[in-house]
Amino acid sequence: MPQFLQWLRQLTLRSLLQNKLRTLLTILGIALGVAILLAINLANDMALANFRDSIDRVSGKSNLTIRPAQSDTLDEQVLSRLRWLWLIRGEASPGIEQTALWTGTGNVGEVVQVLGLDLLSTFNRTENGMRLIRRTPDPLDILKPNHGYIGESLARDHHVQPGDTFPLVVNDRRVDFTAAGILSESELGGAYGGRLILMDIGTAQQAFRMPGRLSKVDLVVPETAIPAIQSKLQQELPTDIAVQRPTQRSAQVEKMIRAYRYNLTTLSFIALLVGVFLIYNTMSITIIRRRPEIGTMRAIGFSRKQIFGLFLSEATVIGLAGTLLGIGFGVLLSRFAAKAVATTVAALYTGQILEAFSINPWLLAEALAFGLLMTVIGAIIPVLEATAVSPAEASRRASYESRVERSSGKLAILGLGFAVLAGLASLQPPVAGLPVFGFIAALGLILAAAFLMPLGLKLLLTALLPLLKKLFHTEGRLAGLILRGALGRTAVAVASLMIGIAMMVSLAVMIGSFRQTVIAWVNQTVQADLWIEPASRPNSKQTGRLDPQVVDRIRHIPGVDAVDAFYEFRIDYNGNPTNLGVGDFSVLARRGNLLFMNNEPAADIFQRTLAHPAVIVTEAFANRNQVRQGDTIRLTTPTGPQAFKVEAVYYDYSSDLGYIVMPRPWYQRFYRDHKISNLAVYLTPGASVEQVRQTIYRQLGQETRLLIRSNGELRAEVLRVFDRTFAITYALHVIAIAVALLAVMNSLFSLVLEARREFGILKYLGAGDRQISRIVLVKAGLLGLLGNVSGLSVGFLLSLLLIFVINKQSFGWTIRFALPWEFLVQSFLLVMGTALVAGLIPARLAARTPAPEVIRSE
Amino acid sequence: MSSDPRQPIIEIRDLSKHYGEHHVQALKGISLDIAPGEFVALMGPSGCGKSTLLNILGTIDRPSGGSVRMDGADIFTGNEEALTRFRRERLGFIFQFFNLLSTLTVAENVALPLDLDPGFPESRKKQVVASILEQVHMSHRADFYPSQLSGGEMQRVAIARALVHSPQIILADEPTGNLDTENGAAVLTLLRDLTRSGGQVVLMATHSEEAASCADRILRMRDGVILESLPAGRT
Repeated sequence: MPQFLQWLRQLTLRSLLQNKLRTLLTILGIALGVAILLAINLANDMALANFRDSIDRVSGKSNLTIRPAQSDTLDEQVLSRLRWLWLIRGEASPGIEQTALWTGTGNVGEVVQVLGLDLLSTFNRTENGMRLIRRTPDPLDILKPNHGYIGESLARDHHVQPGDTFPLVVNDRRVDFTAAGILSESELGGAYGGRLILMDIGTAQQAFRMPGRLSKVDLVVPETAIPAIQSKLQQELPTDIAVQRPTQRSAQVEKMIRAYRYNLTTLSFIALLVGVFLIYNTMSITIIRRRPEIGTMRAIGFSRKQIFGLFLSEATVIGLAGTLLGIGFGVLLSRFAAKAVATTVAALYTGQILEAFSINPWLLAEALAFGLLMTVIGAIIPVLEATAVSPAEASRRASYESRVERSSGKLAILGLGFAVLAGLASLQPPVAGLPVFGFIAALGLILAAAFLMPLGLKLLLTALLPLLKKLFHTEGRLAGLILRGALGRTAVAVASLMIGIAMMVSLAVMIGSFRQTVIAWVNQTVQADLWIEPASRPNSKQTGRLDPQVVDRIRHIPGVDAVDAFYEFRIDYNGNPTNLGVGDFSVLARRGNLLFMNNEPAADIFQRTLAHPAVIVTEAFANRNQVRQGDTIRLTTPTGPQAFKVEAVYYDYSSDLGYIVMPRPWYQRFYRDHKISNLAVYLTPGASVEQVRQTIYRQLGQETRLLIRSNGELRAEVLRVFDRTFAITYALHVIAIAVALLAVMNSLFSLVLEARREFGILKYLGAGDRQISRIVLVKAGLLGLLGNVSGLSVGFLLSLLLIFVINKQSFGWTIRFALPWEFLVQSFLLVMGTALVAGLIPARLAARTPAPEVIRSE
Repeated sequence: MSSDPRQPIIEIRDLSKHYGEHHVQALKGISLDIAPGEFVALMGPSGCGKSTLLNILGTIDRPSGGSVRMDGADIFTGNEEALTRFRRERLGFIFQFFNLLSTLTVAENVALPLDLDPGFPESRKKQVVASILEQVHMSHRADFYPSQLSGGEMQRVAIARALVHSPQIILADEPTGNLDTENGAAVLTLLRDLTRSGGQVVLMATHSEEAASCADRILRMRDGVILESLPAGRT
C-alpha cells in the first residue's frame, strides 16, 4: 500500500498539478453538480423535517390523533364517545389548530399558528410538554378571554412581555390579545419555529367563531394497544373522521409535496450528469495523452490492475475534491434553497412557513456517495481503456480515436436503442403517482443523443468542411478536420455542452409554456371585478373565513351586482389529499368563465349540477384520481356517504392536489355548513372598482380586516406566486447555464492541450501564430455551435417530456407548449459568445506552442 | 529565389545558442557556408547541437548570438510574421517520427503547406499534390490515413509534404531514424533524387554513417561546435 501511495503521488497527483486549469475546471463542474443536488435535497429535507418536528412537538406524548378527514372541523360531541378510554388509562385532549395574522396597522403581517388546548385539564397533568420562561403573576390569566401564551421567538421579535397586548387578525376581524406568558423554545414552544400562540380551547373557539367545533383530539393510549384502539375508534366514530398516528400526518404531508420534491431532485440530477461527462472528458484526455507512458509502465512490469487502480485513483482525487467543494457550496446554497422551498411548500400545500435551518448529516454522506459514484461512472470507460494499453500499442495514440470512429456506427445503434426506450417510456402511465417512466425517458433521451453524437458529428463535420473552408479558409477546414479526427473527444465535449444547454432550454421552455398557460388561464377565468378574503388568509389557504354578516353587507353595497361566495378546505379522497370547494354556481353560470375541458357552455353544466347531487372537478384532480366526466365519486359527508356525479372537468392551475367543487345548496345539505372563505364580486356595469372597494372598507370599519384585490391585482398576484414557486427552478436554470459554460471551457482547454503536437507540426510547416489562434477560435465556435444545435434539439424534446409527461403525471395539468423565442436566441448567443471568449486563452496558448519541445516530447 | 551557384545560399556566422537560467550552451559560435544544391549531413552524438542548429535554420528557434544569412539577407531581422512567411515559403521539414497529422488523409497532409499559403492558387493545388505524390510513389494511398500506412510510406508522404511547395531548403532531422535499413535507404535515395532535380539544399541531421554517406558533405559536431567538415563518398 505505501508503494501504491507513492506511485499515486508521483504519477497521479503530479499530473493533476501539471494540468491545473483543466483539473480546476473539472473539479468546479463536479462541485456545481453536487452542490445543486445537495442544496435541493437539504431544502426538501428541511421542509419535511420542520413539519415533522412541529407535529412531534404539538402532539407531545399523544400517540393517536382524531381528525376530520372529509370536512374542516370536528364536532366536540366526539369527546363523549371517548370516555371509555379512562378504563385503559388513556386520555383524550381536544385541540384547535388555526392561523392568524400578527399585524400592527394595515393588513401586512406574519401568519402565526394558533393552538387551542384544554389548558385547564392540562394544568392538572405534569407532562404537558409546555414550559413557560415568563408569565403574568396570576397563573390563571391564561383562562381569561383573549389571553394567550406566545412563542419565545415571536415574543422576542415583537418585543412582547407578559401582560402586553398584541393585535391579531383572526379571520376577518382584528382582536387584541394579552400575553399571559412566553413559551420556552424547548418542547411545544419550539413548534412552527416558535411562531405560535397557545390559548385555552374555549378562548380559541370563541376567537375563531367555532363554538362546539374542534380541529382534532389528541389521545394518549398504551403503546401496545394502539392498533386495537385505532381500529375500534375507526369503526365507532363517524366515517368522515380519521384516526391516525402522528407519523401518519407527516406521511400525508410528505405525500402532498412528493411530486414537487421529486421534480426538483430529478432536475438537479441532470446537473450531476454533466459532471459525469466532465470527468469522462478529463480522464479520456489524460489517458490518451499518457498512452506512451502507460505502455512504458506496462513494459516495466505494472500489472493491468495497478494501472486500473492508479488511474481510477486519479479520477477519484478529482471527484473527491469536486464533491467536497460541492458539499461546502451546497450547504451554503441550501440556505437560499430552503427559504424558497419552505415558501413554496407553504403557499402550495401546508400553509405554514417553517424555516428552521438544520443540516441532515445523512444527506451530506449521500452527496459524497453520489459525487464519488458519478466520478467512477464517468471515469470507468477511460480507465478500462488505460488498462487495455499493451506495451507495443503504446506509441499509437491514434488507436483510441480510430476505434471511436470505427465504432461510431455501433454507438449510433445503441443510441437509437436508447431513443426507442425513451419513446416507449414516455408512453407509460405514472407509477404510484410519480412519473418514473418520464424520468427514465428523459435519461434515455440524453443517452440516445450522447451515443448518436460520434456518428452525427462525423457526418456533420464532413458536410461542413467546404463551408468552413469558404468562411474561414484553411484555418476553418483544419479546425473541422482536427475536430473530426478527434471524434471521441469532440463527441464527449459536444455531449457535455449539449446536456447543459438541453437542461437550460428544457427548463426555460417548460417554465415559459407554463407561465403562458397560466396567464391565458388567469385572463380567461379571473372575471370578477373584486376578490375579497379575510386578511388572515394569504399564505395560508387552509384557514381564515368571512363573517356571514360581512358577506351580507357586501352584497348590498351599491355597485355590487353579484357575489360568488366560496369556501374550501382540504379533504382526503381515496387516500389522496385534495381540496373540496363550495361555490355559488348560479353566479358562476351568469358571470364566471371557467374553462371546461369539453368546451360545453358553462351555464348548461351549472344547471345540471343543481338538478341532482353533482360536482365539477379540476383537471389535476381528474388526472390524479382517474376520474372522468360522467363518473360518480363518493364523498363521506358529516351526514353520511354521498354520491356525486362529476358533471364536468375544468382547467385550473391553482393547486396540483386538485379541487372538487360543489354548488352551495348541496354543501349546505350534506355538510350542514354555511362557511365562506372568500368572495368573487361582480359589479354592475359602470360601477367603479375603486369606489366600491373604498365603500366596503368604509362601511365595514377598522375592526374588519379584509384583503380586497381588483381583477388586475389578483392576476398580478397569481403571476407573482407563480414566479416565486419557480424561483428555485429559475436558480437551477442559471446553474445549468454555468455548468454548460464550464463544459465549453473544459472541452476547449482539453482539445487545445490535446492538439499541441498538431500545432507544433503546423508551425514547422509555416503556420503563423494568428493562423493557429484562428484554428482554435474556429474550433471553439464550432463546438459552441454544435453544442448549441444539439442542446437546443435535445432541450426541445426534453421540454416536450417535461410538459406532456413528467409535469402532467406529477401535477396532473395540461400545459400549452410555447417557445420562449427571445430567451432561446439570447441563450444561443450567450453560449456562442462564451465559447469564443473561452477560446481566447486556449487560442493564445496554442499560438505559443513551443514547436520543438512538443515535437520532441509528444 | 535564383542565386549565383558560386555564392553560398546559407551563411552562418558565429552562431551560438544557450538555454535557460543555467546558460546551457547548445551551440558555441558555429560558422558555416552551404552552397546551392548542396546535400549536407550533420553527424554527432545526442545533445551535440544538431537539432538546435536545424531549428534555428528552420526559424523555429532564435539564436542567442551570431547571424544566419540566406541569399545575403539576415533572416532574423524580421518580425515573427516575416519568419513564419519565410518558413512557409522557403523551408521544408522532415522529422524522425514523420509527424503527419493523424486526422488528415495522405493528400490532405501533403496539401497542408499549400493550404497555409493564402497566396497559392486553389485551382493548382490538386494537380501539384497529385504530381508530388506520384514522384514519391504514393498516389495509390492518397486517401489513406497515416495510421493505415507503414513507416516507410509515412516518411515518403512526409517528404512529399516537405517538397510540395518547392522550398529552397529541406531540413531533415533523423529522417531514417525510425525506419529499417531497406526503407531508410529507399527514402534517402528518393530525397536525394528529388532535391537534386529541384536544386534544393538538404541539411540532414543523422546518427547513421550509411545515411550520411549519401550526402555531398558531412559535418561532425560535438558539444555545440563543428569539429570537421568532410566531403562524403557517394553511394
